[in-house]
Amino acid sequence: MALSDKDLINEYLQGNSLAFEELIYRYDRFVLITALQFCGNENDAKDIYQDVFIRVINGLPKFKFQSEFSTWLYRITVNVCLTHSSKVKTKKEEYLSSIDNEDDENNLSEIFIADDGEYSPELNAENSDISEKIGDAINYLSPKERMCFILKHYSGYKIREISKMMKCKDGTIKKYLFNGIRKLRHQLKKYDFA
Amino acid sequence: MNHEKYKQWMILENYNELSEKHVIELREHLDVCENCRKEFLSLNNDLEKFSKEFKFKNEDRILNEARKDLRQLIVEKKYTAVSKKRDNGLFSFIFQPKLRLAFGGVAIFFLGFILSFLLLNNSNENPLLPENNVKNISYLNEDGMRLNNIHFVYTDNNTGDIRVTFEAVKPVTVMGNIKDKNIQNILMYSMLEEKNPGTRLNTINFIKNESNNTIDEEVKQTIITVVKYDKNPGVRMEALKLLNSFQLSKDVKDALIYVVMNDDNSAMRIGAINKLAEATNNGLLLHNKDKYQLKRKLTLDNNNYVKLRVKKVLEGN
Repeated sequence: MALSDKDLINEYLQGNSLAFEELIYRYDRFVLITALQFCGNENDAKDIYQDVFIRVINGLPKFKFQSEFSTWLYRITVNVCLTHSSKVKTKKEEYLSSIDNEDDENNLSEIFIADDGEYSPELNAENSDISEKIGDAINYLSPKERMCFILKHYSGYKIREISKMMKCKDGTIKKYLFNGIRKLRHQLKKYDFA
Repeated sequence: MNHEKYKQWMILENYNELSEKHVIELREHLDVCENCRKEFLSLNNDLEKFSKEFKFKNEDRILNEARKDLRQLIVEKKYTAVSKKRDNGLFSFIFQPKLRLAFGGVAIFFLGFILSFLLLNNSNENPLLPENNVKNISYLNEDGMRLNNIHFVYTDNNTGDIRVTFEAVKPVTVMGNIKDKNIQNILMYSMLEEKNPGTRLNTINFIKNESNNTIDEEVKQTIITVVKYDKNPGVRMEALKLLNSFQLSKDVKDALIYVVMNDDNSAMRIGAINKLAEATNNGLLLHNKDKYQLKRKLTLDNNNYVKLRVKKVLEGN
């Protein structure tokens, strides 16, 4: 009989690191897929993955089992994705302010696409036009709209569950979702996709 | 009319997040508003495309790399990076010339405190050290032991150590009849947790043959869970047949109504509504809440036979 998450956590805290690996293997695909969908970039997704599980390692000794381990993990994943997104934004702004005025716009856009961890679905999404366009369109959403859409549409969570993960009210989540879907459809119409 | 409101409801309806009352209102609106009907179809179409067309390639490769990186990071962090960084910060703070004397005494006090804590506390083993996981594997030689899912988890480049994980499985035989608690626990586990649908099906058939239409309450609840939630329609169907052989208690009736309302397999819905129709003929009276749900089904179900049988049940009430 497979050990429960609680058993595995207790085993891990008593020194069995294989128990931790088994625990990770149960849920890490979700973490990675969510990160990939969120940032559309393999390297950033791996960073997020690492960051999530390092936080889990640090947090496990204090974990009181007041919620399911999976719920806690998903909440961390959402937080790390959103934090990562704001870090990318700050990095971009810092870079913009430090850039020499003589640099022309073309150079700037090239640098951002290559280096700043912005959404770049062309690196990972399946090699189809439509997939890339959807990836591009998702990029137009704000981080919270993007996260709501991913959790609802791709992961199939209930609005109530998403509101707990993102620590918002149900109404706020609905607003993000409505706006997100509206923007996505609008964007895709531009591509003559819809 | 507030078309914007209905547009938002369409999204919620698409994700099954709209309340029953609002579903009915939305349907009524769609019946009379052609623009919204078109919008509804277009929305469904777009959302379906978002699901079908947006996929990532190399998911498994990326996952394996991420796992490997994480393992490395954990090992490195434990032996070098973090402690070194923290020590440097601490010492540079203490040895600032102006603060040296002031902090010297405090530091010695704390150092003594920490050292005594470390010496007296035996439970500070590092949980991630690989040495803690070396197991005595002599039990693998026991008769009948099988090893499954063997895979290499970690190779340490410095020492050449290889870590292997596997499942060690040993067959266990338990004897008893269906009333034995141990047997019941195994049956329930098999119905709920066994990955192979054939095994789940066999378990249900075994119960059907052995139960003589009476069953322990806990096992019955497990069967109800299978009827409602098992992913395999064949398993659900056999569980439903078994459930139908029991006396129609309230929880069985609720399960049947749940199936009529929610199962996407029409054979399941027909099986459940037929049992309810039979029970109605024998004098079953439904609560208003049940009738309300079935009335809704009467308008929304896409299967005419189900609708007909629902109507019959409602007429009998």
